[in-house]
Amino acid sequence: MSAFILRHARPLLLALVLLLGGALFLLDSAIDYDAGRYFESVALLRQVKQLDAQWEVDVLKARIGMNHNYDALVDPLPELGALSERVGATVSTLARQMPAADAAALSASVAAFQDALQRKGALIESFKSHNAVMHNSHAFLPIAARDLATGRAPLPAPLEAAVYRALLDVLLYQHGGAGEAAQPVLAQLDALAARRGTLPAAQQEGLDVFVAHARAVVREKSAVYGLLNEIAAVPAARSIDDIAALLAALEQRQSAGMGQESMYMAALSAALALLLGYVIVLLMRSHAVIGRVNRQLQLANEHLEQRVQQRTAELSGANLRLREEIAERKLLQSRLLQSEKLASVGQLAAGMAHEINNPLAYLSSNFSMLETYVGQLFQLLDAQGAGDAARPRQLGAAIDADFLREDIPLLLSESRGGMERVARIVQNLKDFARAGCEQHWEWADLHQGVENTLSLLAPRLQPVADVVREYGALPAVQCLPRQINQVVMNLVLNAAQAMGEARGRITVRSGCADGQVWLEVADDGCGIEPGVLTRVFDPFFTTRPIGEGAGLGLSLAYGIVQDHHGQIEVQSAPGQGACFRLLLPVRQPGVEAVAEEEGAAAPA
Amino acid sequence: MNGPLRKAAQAAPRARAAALTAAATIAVIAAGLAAPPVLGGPALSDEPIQPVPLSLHQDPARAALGRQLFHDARLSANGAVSCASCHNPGQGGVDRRPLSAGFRGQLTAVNTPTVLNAALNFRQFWNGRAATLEAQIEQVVVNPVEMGSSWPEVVRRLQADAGYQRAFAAVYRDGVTQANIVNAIASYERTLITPNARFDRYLRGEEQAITAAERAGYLKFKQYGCVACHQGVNVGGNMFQKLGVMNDYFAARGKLTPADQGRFLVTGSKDDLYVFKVPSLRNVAASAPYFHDASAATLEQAVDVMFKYQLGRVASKEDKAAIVLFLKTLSAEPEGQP
Repeated sequence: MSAFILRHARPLLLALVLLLGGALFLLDSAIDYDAGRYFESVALLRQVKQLDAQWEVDVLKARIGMNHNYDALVDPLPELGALSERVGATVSTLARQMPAADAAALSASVAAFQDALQRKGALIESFKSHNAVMHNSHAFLPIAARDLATGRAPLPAPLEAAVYRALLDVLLYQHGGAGEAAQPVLAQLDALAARRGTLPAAQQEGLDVFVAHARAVVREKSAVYGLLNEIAAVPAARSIDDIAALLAALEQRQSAGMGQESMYMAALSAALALLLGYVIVLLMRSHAVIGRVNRQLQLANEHLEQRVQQRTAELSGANLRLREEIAERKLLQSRLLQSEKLASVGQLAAGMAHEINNPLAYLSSNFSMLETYVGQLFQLLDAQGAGDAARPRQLGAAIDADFLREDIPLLLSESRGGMERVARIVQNLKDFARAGCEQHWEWADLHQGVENTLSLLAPRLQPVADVVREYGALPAVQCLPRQINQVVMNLVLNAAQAMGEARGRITVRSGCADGQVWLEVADDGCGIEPGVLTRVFDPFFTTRPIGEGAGLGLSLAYGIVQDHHGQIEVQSAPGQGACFRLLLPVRQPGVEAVAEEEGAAAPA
Repeated sequence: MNGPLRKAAQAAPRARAAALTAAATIAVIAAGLAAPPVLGGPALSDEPIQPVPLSLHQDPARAALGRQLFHDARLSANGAVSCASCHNPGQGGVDRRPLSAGFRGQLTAVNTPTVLNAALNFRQFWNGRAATLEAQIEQVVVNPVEMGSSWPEVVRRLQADAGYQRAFAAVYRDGVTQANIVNAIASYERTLITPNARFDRYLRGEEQAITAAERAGYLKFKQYGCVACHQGVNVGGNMFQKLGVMNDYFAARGKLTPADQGRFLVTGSKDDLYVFKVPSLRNVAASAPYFHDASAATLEQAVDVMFKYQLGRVASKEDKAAIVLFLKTLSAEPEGQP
């Protein structure tokens, strides 16, 4: 079931990462746009616009003299300044989230607004100055006229009338609209001023003051109206509307974009939900599998102890059987060894029979000769005993007593030699065939063992090969001598069997190096195929026809050499003979104590 | 910043005025024979001049620190002058010299305006080149004639003072900085307003706070049109006006200096030539000499100049004297520690 999950893990993970990436991207762009800023800006703009309108109203109030002081025109200044700065800051924050072109347009309109506000402020300042002067002069003008008329020296009647007309015209002009022409009024005032010379000095000053203030009214009125027009023309409100419109358009676009984004978001959410559902199904499925396996595990656990016991019993049974088998095998092996020996002995028997037959043959002929000789002797003895003198002579002529005297001992000694020879052959055989279990480690002269073996095999070797000895100096070697003899015999027999038609040569070499002795049995026989070379030490492997050997010879040799902690190697090529090399340690590692007990034979 | 406060200051009396009007009416109708009320009648809310608010509500700790800085000569390059050297709060907020001596004894270009009620001015300096007290402070410290220092230098010096370090750390998060130094001084200056002048008490309904002659002077002040410019809470300080609007002041005076160009130096506009901020007339009796060029040594002279060049009118000695009498009712001591 984990494989099931794993199989799906990579595509699932990939899908999840993609969806989450998309969600984050959308979320990021959504966060980027702060609708709050827009509404804040709109609120600010509305506030500014209201303040601006109130400002204008206060200007007009000041113009018509409804305001007693100019604090009302000054009070909005700090607030307007602060609001304008806030609009700038808020809008520039908004502008950072917009395309460059929109941001530039917005910045430009904000700059225009701030500039308009500044210009308007300056114009209003100027308006205040001129308005103050205009109001003063306008208020004073009737007083000036009255002062002139009711002064200490009365004015001439036409002049007084001219002064009052001028006063009326100036007042009318002042109260008139912006379109009122100043020129006729100014011309009238000029005319009035021209009559200054006709007045006494005391009234000249009064006329000057009147004319100056009348001119001031006209001058300041046109300045005030000009300023009011300019103030009205300053596009403060319009630039606020511009900003608002721009922001609204952007907001509309943004919210359209947000609609699209929310659609994407919804699609993404649906995809995520589907993925989630799929994962849930997968998990549920795997959960079921896990549950099933868990139950099985639990069940298995319950029987585990029992099964372990059973298994342990089985194992110990098997172990016992194995041990028995090993013992049996060991027995078998030693039997095999024995039987191989016996087989070797069987092989020897043929040669041996001939060997024994030979002395037996001449023993037999000697004995028949001796029987003849004993018969003749008995005749001779009979004749002498009967006293027949002639007969012994007769007999003596037929029986050469001297010859008998000579030949009988010869025959006897010959026979004795033959019997001894038979006895020696039998003794050799007996030595060779003795059982392995009787053996124990001893210090032995390998050359002697080799010679012994070679002499035993001499009948087999003689017809097929010459034996060449190339012995080096060997120390006494700690070994099981009869087993080593067996190895040597197997190797020599092997060599003999490798010989072809032509008479061959078997070379036995020996030597000693590095605490090891080596022994080589080389032949110039048929050699060994490379494919066979690796198998020559395998048990039951043989190239000979069935019945001529169990195929255990070399395998046994291998085993024996292993028991001696030695090595056996073979070098051979087809047609070039074979060379078996035996390497044995001089001293056996593990049998020291026994060797020491053997005492005298041990080398220093 | 003083706008809303000023509005509040106006609104309060207005509300109170309504209540008092109602109360007074009832009192007059019900007890016609009763003695006239000691505290007079309703506040005079329709007057072009309005009383100074009782407080601009500054942080006392910052104002105290600002007071210390205001009197600290280390703000000038050579430690010769402090703010208070020219703006002595105990002396009408001025040094009473025609022109003031800067850190090296050089004279300033114009007469020192008073620091008292400067917080109620809509602009600072004669030509209005600073919109706020803070801007004014920043300019004076680096002015090569006045204090001749630099802000990094001032900040460094004050930072070296353990006392200042502690004091700033106590009231400002970021310790000794230019902004905080300026803010502290401005805070102090906002405590240097002078409420409760006798005229203000009169405006608040205390009829007997000024004499009949002074009241007559106020009437003349209004009738002659002085009030066209000198109006509002600060009796001026809320507009610009050309000096010599009815007669050529500078032609008469002669010897034009660059400073005479007034607001033209700020805006570069021809219309602003010879235009100055209308100075406040509060504490005017204590801040002689008068005008940007200190050309009038006494109030009487100043009134004469105004009549001639600004009003373009001739007034009797009595009227002028009455106006001077009125002007003297505008004096008061600052509420805060000077």
